[in-house]
Amino acid sequence: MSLRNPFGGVSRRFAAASVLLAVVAAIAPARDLFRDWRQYQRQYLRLVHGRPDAAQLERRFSGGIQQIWIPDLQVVDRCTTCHVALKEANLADVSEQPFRKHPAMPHSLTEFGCVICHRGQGPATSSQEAHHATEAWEEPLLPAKYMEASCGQCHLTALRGTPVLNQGRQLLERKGCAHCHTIKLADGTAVQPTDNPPPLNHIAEKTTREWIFAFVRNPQAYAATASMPNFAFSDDNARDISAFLIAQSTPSGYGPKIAAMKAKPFTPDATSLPEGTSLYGQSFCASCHAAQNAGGNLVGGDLGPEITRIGSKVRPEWLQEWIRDPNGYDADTTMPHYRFNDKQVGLLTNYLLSKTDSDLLANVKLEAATQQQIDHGRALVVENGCAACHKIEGVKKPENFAPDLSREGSKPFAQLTFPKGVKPSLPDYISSKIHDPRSFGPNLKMPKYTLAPAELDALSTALLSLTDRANSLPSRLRIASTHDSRYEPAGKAGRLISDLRCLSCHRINGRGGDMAADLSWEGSSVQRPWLVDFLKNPNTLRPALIRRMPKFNLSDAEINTLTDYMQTVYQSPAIDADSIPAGSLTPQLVEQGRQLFYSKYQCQSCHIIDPKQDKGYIGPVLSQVGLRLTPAWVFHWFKDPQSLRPGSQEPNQNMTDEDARALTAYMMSLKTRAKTEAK
Amino acid sequence: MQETSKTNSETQSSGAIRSPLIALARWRDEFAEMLSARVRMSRLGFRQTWYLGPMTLGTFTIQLATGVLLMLYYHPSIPQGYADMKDLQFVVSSGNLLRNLHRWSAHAMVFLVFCHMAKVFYRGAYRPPRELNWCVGVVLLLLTLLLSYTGYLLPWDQLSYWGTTVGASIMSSLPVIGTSLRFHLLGGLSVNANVLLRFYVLHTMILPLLVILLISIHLWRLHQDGGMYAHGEKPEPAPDASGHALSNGVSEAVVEEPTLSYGELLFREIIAIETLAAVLITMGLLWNAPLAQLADPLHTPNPAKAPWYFSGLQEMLHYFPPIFAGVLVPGLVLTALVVIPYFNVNIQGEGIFLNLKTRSRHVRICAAVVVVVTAFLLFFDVYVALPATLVVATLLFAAAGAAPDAPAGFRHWLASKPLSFWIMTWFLMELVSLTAVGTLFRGPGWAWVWPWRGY
Repeated sequence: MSLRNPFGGVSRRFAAASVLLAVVAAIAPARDLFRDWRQYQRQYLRLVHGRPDAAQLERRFSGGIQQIWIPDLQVVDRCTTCHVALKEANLADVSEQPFRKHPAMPHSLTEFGCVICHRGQGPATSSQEAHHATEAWEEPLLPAKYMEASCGQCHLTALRGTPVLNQGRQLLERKGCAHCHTIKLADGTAVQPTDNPPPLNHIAEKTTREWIFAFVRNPQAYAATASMPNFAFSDDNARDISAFLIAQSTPSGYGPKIAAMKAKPFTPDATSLPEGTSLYGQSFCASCHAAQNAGGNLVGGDLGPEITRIGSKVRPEWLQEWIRDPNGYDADTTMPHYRFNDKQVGLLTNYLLSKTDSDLLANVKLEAATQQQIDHGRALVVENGCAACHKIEGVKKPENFAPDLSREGSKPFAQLTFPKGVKPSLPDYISSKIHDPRSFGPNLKMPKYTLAPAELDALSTALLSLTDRANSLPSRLRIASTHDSRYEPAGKAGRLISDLRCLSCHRINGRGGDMAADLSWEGSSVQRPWLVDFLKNPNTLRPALIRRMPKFNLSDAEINTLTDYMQTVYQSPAIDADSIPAGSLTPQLVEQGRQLFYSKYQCQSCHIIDPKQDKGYIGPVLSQVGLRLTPAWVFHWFKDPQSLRPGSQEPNQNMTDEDARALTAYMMSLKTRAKTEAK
Repeated sequence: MQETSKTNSETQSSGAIRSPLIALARWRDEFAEMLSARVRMSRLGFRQTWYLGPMTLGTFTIQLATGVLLMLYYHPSIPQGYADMKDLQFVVSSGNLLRNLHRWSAHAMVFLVFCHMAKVFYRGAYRPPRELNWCVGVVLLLLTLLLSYTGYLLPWDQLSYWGTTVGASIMSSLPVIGTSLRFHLLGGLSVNANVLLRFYVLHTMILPLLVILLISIHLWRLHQDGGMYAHGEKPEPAPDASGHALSNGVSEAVVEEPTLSYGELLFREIIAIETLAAVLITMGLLWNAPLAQLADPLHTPNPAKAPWYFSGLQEMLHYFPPIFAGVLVPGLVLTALVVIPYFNVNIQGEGIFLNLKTRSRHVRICAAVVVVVTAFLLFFDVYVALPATLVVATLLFAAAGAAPDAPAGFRHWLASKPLSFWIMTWFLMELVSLTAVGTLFRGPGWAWVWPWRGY
């Protein structure tokens, strides 16, 4: 250690350590200059530079980190740091990301930011962190096919722009998910099932143990569109369940009649089949029930069960009574009460019982059930939650049988499992779970539903819309769900309407089905003689449809009751029946209207009056509209169709009162029945 | 300005302060004396102390610097705290490095504090007159752990929230005072926004001030006690009140001439600290500090782990009831640590197998203890604690087998180690293995997992 260099080797080591520290410490600030987003912004400027509108685009560009900050929604979205051109209309031709313009959307960027719709990590400024699931962020970008789920966070009603979501929500109701799962929307209302599973407490009257066995083993072997899911029961379990169900069955309201009919057994009669077939056709059973025709195509509606093989299912005596009066067996059924006479009942029964499938029960041989099997069957019924959907004697409907799905769209990753082959993301989890529930582990109880791929996507979309965010958004942003009213028609007519189950197809005062027209203002709409005629013999405005109003064989008294009620009660307050007196519709006005119909408004492009020259197949044939509709209704229709039938395709032409009046006159003059109906 | 009670002042006047300038000069003297002006070159070798003390101080300084910078961006509220973590990662220039450095430096500080303690112990540098300094060091150890624990909560992610909850639960298992202690630590019954604020104040103000104060005392005491400890330095009998001189505690044959410390000691310390800083910054550049999802009191992760330095305790809780794992063992360990310098057997440091008279008795006692401990561990299925016990047992018997007059070698060296050596070694090895198991080898439901398999 010399005086000249008192520190010798130490200072060299000190210098080395200091240099090392300085170099290492400089790395991080230097890396800042090479961040992802800076590259993208430079790339954007290079892209823009060569274009003709470069000056304008460059002026509108702001460098640095950009963000959309909406404090009361907890939105901090920095997507616009890289996606710089989202709002640039001029760049509609650019197709490379991240410089693409955002496609047209119903909300502006600054209204909700990006992440509320697309998910992903808003505060991130690197593409890996922003788009994908990382250790600190579980929600990657939502795949495009599920995008409508994000709309569903605020919009709890059906929207025209979200068909997939609407279908998914409908499926949640119609597949009966809500029987087992609690599904609460963000406004607190619960999803209600609309699938009407039949009661099983009188099942022994309706069908045989062999059929129950075969059905429980595989529902879709009986009817391809059976809404009952497949529980994958073994033969032994199905045997025991069928034993229990027969054992628990009690006599229904049919009781004595069934016993009486058992005395005379049913014999099929091939000769009356054609008559039965045409009666079946006239009764328009196909409006609700589907059946496979000879070509293997399913024809008919889905309000009631598929009847392709009904002859192999039901007992003849039960079917006779059912057709005669469904309410005696099941007071809550949606099947209307036709007024068939004995002959008609016989014809229909014979026809339906001809629809058999000999393969269905060919190999089903069941011996008499022992008490042990019945008890085991009951245990199985309890364990699998059958009573969640079906009324079963002695078994209560279980509470909270399946997990609550009200926040399924935000389910944490820690609660998800992924069997082999399933991508580890929430949408894939939901989709795969619905598709094949039991592949997720042993001892799972959810049965397998038969769903088309589009239906699967729709259901996943609907479930993905049930997020934490949907529940925590300010309530001013939420558009609450609409529900059916609890309208019950009153009095004698009301009882008829209930008995005929009009609300299965028609909507009245906010309640009912959507297969047929809304009757809330039918009294203002149609003329009484026409209505009487129609109820006696429902023809149709659109003969191309397979699902049409059935003929209920109502008596005159019943028809009068109904017509009086509808004409009096189902009136629109906006329409004054006397506002267009018949005398005011002069022949000159009629001619004027005819001119307007054909020349000014070109109505023949959609409507037919004279089948020889008009070819408009979109709207109904108008050749007898003067017998059907009331003038006041027609006038209001011309002035604003959507106020009378929301969603109608009839264009609102903003007609003047004069034009509307003239056209009304012309319409009311059309009273001839068309010689040929459009196909 | 108050009269100090030290009588080592070089200025003559010990009465009233003559003038502010002289007072200032006296302050400077006091301060300068805290850092030894002179030091012996023989004590500066790297392998003497591994510079663990200065490196610990270095990590603490890094923590102070990065911590203050982090405070510029952090709001101790929910959910803003977590959002600030995101901002640091994505927006703040070098914010990622800042946060990572703070995290790795914290881990390094805990690790280095334990190493420093072990080194001081193994060198015997706790012997009188250094008992007080040792106790101050124990308190500093606890404060370091507490600093780490309070800081762990601040990101408010799932790891933070549940780690803090588990740590507080371990604390509440103390009998009688446990729940009350937890209540006073958290200021409530559960971890929530108030706890975040409380821990923030603890972490950024109260604890750092305490630590700075105690480090000052620690360094000052070090200086009082004779500076850096030399290997082989014999302990002093109880020091008299007349204070110190630089030649305290030296029993070397040759009195070495001390030299200016600013060049030699300071440079070497700075080299150590700079190298450590470079290593930590490199770690910060390569590996991100973990950040999980935003804390969700409704969803407990499985497994919910305490911070790694408590995972040894959590592992013990897996086998033993909380009274044992949460109370007795930590309590015993702490007590043992504190009293180490006050027991003669430690001060004298005589090898347990070297004295022929007591040798066979000692061997029999050691064998019995090993058997009892192993049986105890097997009975409670604490297999993870067996490797350390068996290693120590093997070394013990290797030592026992060495004849006392055998030539110097590893076994002889082992045989010369005092009882405190064996107990401390066993304790440290158990600490390392239990912490390693709790951190790396435990998965959902606290089941055994292989760390490379993940869960």
